Amino acid sequence: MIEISELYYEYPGVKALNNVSVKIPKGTITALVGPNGSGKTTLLECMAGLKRSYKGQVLVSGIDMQENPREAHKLIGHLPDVFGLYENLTVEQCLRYQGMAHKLSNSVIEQRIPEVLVYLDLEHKASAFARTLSRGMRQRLAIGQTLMHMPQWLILDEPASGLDPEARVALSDLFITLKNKGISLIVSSHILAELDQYANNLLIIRKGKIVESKALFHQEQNNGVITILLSAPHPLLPAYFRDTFSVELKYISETHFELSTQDDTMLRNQMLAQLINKGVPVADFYYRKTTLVEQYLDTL
Amino acid sequence: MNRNPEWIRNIWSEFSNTRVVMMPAVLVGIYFIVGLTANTLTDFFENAWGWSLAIAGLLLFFWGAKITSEAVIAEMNNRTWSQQRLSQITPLEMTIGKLFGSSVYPWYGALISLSVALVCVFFLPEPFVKLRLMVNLILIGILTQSLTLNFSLMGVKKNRDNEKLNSGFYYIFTIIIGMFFFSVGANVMDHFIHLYFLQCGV
Repeated sequence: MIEISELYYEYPGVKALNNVSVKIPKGTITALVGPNGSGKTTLLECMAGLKRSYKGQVLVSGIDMQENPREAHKLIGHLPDVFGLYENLTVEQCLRYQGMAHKLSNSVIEQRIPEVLVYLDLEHKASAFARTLSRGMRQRLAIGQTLMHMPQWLILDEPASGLDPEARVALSDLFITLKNKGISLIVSSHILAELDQYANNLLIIRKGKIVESKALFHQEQNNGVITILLSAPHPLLPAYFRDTFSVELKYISETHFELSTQDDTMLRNQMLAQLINKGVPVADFYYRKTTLVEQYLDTL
Repeated sequence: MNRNPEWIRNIWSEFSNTRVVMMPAVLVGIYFIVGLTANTLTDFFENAWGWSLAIAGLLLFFWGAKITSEAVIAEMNNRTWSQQRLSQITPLEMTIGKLFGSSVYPWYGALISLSVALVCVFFLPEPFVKLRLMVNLILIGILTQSLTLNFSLMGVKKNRDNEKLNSGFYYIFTIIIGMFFFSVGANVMDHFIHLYFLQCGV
């Protein structure tokens, strides 16, 4: 677990983090979201030990980041939003250097390099120079560098920015693979739809404060929305739902209603059957999961 | 050194096949021209000795000092510094790796030139005075490069806003100090080296 308590950080004249306290459970992919200038990058840099807060504590699996950064750094990998690579080194040399820099033995480095290359789908580029790689490949190599010492935590700041849709999908797949390998990820991004595909924990930060910290609903615990579209207005529909199912419909327009509910196929079947029996002119009736965007906007 | 990641990375970066060949090729060219201008063999050794020292001096004080002044600043500007900070490289390893690793290519050229100078020394009068001068040159080269690295680190520490840094100021500042060392400090250093040689009975 990463445990942050009463963290404060200030830039000249600006309070970037203001009494941030949060616990991030292991085994999760945590989405850190918030508007520009809300303190996301500062928080991630404090977690990685790159910035020293003037007050507060960051514990990474029980190790105090400020007291014992060297030990804590063994447990984390960090990819900043703007990163650089050693352009004159080959992909393999970049990974080897990171292995040596983390004091891995030669035998572990030899074993780890092909492993990481496979994760990143860069086996065919092992001897290519970093300067010749595409944006997506550079991103994957940068992530690969952080993986060489197999950290327990991977902190990624805007990892998908500047990537094309194909590379973004590949990146999402990579994150899920890493999570399945036992690495916990903390990912900040502006692209909420993308985080929705892999994140199962949500942190929302605004003006340097954590305003929401919760587990997200996915397959195992699914909340969603039923959309009902009518071919003609039916003024009695909300009252009918209230009386029959004891639920409130959300009015969007005269022919468009929404209903927040859990993923229950039997309940949906029942509702639809009764609507048709009652002669409600249903044109469309479908269920979709609540998106991260909706959950984010709800907290605002 | 063989386990110092920073040193090894610099070797990988600085020594491409072309560069390995290029430096000796340029030096051979220079010595060839020196040879053409010499009338006798003694002339050649004298000229080659002088040129070797000048080349080594240029490589160590100008090129080497410039590269060491950029060693950390370039990492910051190229956004690779944070990954180094998160690594397990010790401060001593980092210092040695940056000091000798970043300027390894100028040192490569300087050592070739000094090797030529070393050969020349034995064919010229006052070999030990010349040897002392060579040792001086190497030590002051290390000192100047250490200073540029140190000054640039002070600049990095002051740069709290993480703006792009320019190493030019630290470089020029150190070159001036390096020249001072070479003119005034060299005499002091030469004195100690002279004492050492005396103690050794030379």
